[in-house]
Amino acid sequence: MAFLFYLLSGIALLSALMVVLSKSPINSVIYLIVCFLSIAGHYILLNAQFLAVVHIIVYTGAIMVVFLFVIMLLNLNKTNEPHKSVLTKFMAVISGGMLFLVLIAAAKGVNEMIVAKEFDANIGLVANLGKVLYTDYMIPFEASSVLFLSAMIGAVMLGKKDKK
Amino acid sequence: MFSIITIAITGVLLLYLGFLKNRWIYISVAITGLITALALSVFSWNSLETSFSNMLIIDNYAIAFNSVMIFATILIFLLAPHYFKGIEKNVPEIYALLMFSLAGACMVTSFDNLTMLFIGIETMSIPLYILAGSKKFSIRSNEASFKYFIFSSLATAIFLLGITLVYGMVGSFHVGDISNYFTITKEIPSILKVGIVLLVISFGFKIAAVPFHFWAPDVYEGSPTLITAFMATVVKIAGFAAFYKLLSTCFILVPDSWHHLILGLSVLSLIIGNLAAIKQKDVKRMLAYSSISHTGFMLFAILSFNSFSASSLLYYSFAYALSTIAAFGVLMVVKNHMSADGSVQAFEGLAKKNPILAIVMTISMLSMAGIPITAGFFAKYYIFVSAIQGGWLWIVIIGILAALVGVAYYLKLIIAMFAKTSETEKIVTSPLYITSLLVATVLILIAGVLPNLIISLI
Amino acid sequence: MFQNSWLILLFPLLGFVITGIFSKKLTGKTSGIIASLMVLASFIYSATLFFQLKQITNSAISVDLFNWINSGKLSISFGFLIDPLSVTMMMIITGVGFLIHLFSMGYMHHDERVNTYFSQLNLFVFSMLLLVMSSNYLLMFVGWEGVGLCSYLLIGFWYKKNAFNNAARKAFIMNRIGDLGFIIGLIAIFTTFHSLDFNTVFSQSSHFISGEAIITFITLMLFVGAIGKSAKIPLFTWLPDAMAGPTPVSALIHAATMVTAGIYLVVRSSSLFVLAPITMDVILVVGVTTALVAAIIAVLQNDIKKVLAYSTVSQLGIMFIALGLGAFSSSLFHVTTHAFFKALLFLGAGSIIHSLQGQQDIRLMGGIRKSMPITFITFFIAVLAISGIPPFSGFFSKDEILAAAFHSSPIVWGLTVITSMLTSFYMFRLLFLVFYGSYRGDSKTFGKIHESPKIMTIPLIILAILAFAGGFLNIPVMFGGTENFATFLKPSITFFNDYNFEIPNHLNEILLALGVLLLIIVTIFVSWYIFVKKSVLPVSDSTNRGIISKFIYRKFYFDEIYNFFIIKPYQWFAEKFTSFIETNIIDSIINGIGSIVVFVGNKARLIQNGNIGFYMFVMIIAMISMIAGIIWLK
Repeated sequence: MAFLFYLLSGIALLSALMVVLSKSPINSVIYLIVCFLSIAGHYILLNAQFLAVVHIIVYTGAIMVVFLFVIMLLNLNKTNEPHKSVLTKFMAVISGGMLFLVLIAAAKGVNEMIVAKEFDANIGLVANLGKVLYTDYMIPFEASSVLFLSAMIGAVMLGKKDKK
Repeated sequence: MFSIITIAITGVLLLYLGFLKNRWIYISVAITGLITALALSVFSWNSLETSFSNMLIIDNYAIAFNSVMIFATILIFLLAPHYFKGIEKNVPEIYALLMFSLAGACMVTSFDNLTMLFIGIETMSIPLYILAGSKKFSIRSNEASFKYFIFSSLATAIFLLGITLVYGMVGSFHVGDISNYFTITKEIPSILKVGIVLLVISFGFKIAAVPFHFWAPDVYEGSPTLITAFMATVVKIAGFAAFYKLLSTCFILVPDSWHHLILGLSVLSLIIGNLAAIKQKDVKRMLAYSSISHTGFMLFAILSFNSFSASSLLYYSFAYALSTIAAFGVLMVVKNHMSADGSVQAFEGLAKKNPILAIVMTISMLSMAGIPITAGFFAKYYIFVSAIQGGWLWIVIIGILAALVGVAYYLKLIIAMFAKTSETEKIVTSPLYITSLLVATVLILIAGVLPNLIISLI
Repeated sequence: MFQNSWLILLFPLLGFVITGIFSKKLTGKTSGIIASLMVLASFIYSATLFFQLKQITNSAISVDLFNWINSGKLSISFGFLIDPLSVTMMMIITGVGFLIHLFSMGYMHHDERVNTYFSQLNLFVFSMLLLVMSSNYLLMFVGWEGVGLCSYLLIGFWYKKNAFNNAARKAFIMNRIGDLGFIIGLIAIFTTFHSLDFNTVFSQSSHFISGEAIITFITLMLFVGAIGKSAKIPLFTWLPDAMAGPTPVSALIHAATMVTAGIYLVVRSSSLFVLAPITMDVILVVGVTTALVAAIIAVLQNDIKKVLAYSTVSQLGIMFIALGLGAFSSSLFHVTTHAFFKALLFLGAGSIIHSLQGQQDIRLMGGIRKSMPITFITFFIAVLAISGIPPFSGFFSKDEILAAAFHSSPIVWGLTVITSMLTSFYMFRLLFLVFYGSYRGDSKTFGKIHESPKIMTIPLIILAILAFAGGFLNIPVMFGGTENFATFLKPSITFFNDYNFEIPNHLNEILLALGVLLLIIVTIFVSWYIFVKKSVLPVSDSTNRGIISKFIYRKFYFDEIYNFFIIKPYQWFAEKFTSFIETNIIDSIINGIGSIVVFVGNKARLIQNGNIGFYMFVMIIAMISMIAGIIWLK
């Protein structure tokens, strides 16, 4: 199990890095899909099959495909990355590195801490998840419908072609 | 709870009414819905309601802030028909999105569970990305929408990371469990502290506190003015109410991990906000910086947690919302008139062109500057008293100095309005529009003379 | 009767509302009548209160209308304190205010915004009454700010001239500096006494010993407020500029009432001030300096209103000398007589300016006593009063202060006498240059010079009677009087424990008074010799002056110093802030280096404006330092 965890984490990190580093947008999208898949693998490790499936369907299936369509249809597939000055890169590295360092420092010693809640292996199963979602988390669940409705309106409103 | 449902349903209703293509129907339905929601909210006073396994807790604190926000929205809706005159496209959608955003804002003030807080904040923010870009052919509006989206997404990411870290240590999203954790645990792990800091930072984005304010001037300037008025009032008040509630319920026992941050945010906001506002030519941008400086003042309430700070925050929110709506209301007319720009020069001779608007703007500016008999004076006074009781005398002195600097740029606008001008063409507005502005103005004065009406509520 | 004292406030407020709302409908005359009647009604009510108050022994009545602010420890009622001190001030405000309203009906009838004028004037009377009637510091502060606002509005009344707007702004800002002190004082009072109510604070003050640090701090801060409002060094430069407003406004606000608010504040808080000897010394020093400096400046001024303005600053200085000496009732007595004769001087000046079509330069006046006899006679009475010639009112009030000064320190006495001599010199210089000699202005206007209409001369005559007889209110014991005024005020004021109400040796006092009188008469003679006998005229602005003369003529360069040391650096800083931080740092980094952080990826560059990258960079740095600070510090 531990080996699988480290393998998946490694793939996830590597592909995430490649999303940023690769010159072609298409490659970036592909790496992103790999990253999402390895995260789905993590879900399965946690015995959360439902989440894993939804993750693959929604992110890898729907969203990333739309991404690819947009890139191909708008013909954004150009590899000529504009040159960035050394100073820009230097500052980016410094600030990113510092943030990394600070978070690592904060996470130091987490291992020795008492776990607040015992892990329930069955929580990620469809039945349990559905029960929690439709009882305890009813209100957030319903409230997010308002959120999605407004996102939908927005997509229609902004996407629709208006005459000037 | 019922008032939130009413608001959401009114929003859905407005979408369907869009087929009728009659702007007076939209507005009357919207206002009726809002007034019903306000009434439902007010009538549930003193009846503590906790819904659905402690997701929402609607106490007097939440009701008071919700009522202020709903009322502010009513005033904004009264301004809307005049603002959208001649624009037929997408008006019901814009109204509906405002409604949804307000519903989110009402959830934010009454959360009892961090999940709910997150959903509330998102419900409040997502309609605003769209609304900020609702002037589709204006490049500034598009830019505002995009910037707001980018920065809000960053804030959301930080917020989620913060919640995750807190959950990882505490094992619960529930507010009561989190505060219990701190009564039991003596030694707080540093990763949890980071979680708290991240939550504070993400709220810093939402309320536009320096140094997380960068988006605010650009977004406020680029968005349609009506939307800016909504963002500057309802969204900001909701952010503050939630911020105050989060820190006062969950993390009140560990002030070490956030007290100095609030202090820094407050002082920086006061200084940068006021200094940058002085030389602004564009009134909208000036109001954006002034809004940042008000953030600095309102943070005093969070800094000084005591029995008095919640009510001082409420009073400040009320006074601030009224003055801001009045100011933006006048700005909208001036900006639309004769295709004038929103610079200070555009206000010259307003006293001649439309004396009522000039008076409204004057009172609103005086209130923002904190001159007595306007609500702004007591707002500052109470928030200072609250800070002094919390033992923050030196920061109050900075606040008073900042307020003095503030007088300079508010006065600049007043003087411009009463200055002479060559063109004396009258500016006309609709009766509904003037009603909204006058209601705001009169309430500024009433609240300024009888502060007890509001300050004794919570 | 006392319970309904809120009516006094209601009348001018009503006047403000009526003349304000119907400013388009009413004629100037009607609104003038409404405004004047409202102030008259308040005056009658105040006078009734005065007579009632004289009859009862326990002469301080608190009237609480309703609970105004109530939260936590703070509880403030909307209430009034009716005692001899407040009633005296109320009578001055409404009485002199009424006469000035009458005068304004004549003076302002040409102006197109006369209705606005009256409405603002009524608002001023309302705020000033609120200031003196309130029973706690907070309500007083509301009135305090209200008069500041009205003063701002009325100084800038002729807002079309930019210089006038600047004068108004200057007054407002200088007052705000003083207000800052007042606010800090308020907060300090609240933290010390847990109340802002006068009765509570003053009764608790007896628990403190003299010279305690917190009391010294409180009184110093309150005094800073008084400095701003009463135009003392270093905040006095706004008052001469405030003469930009209409002349009746200068008479009411900048001579008789608002500027005395600082004195009222000190007298009202006398039980705190007597516990702070350091503050009293500061008051004395500021008073003496201001009195002398302003009197010296006044000698070379050529604008009739500026002379009077500096004279006001100087007279206020004398009142502060009295405060610093602990002679609170003498100070208030001088406030009263000064209100009479200075209002008269300003209204007289108004009458002259009105008749000369707005001319204010005394170098272009002269010889108009024949054409304006009433103005001349009343003005003459006022000049005699301010110079301190017996039996005019100024003599009595100034003599009391001089006696108190002699009693405590000969130096203060000497400087005050010099100020008095300068006062009589420049006042007679003004009188001689304006009314004697021959007319030096445009010969065409000479024929048009006429006495002002009755509505303006009647207030002059009434004020002249008061300026003459006002002194009899408080005839000192040495002249066989009973000091009615001081006895009446006594319950409202706390004096130093060792403050001596009566000076034992009356002979000395009489000799002193005679000596001073002699010096003043000599000064008047010198003035007569220079300006009438030799007909020396003030030089025009273009001629070169000697260094000292120039120094005085330019008002000791106070404005220039402030400009150089405060305004310039402030503007520089604000300018640099926008041009440097906004333009240089942000823009140059953005435009010069391009987007800094790769963070936002490809999308970010699609926006025309590259700022986002920089914004993000700053925010991330702030985030890092915040997290690091929380982890590693503490």
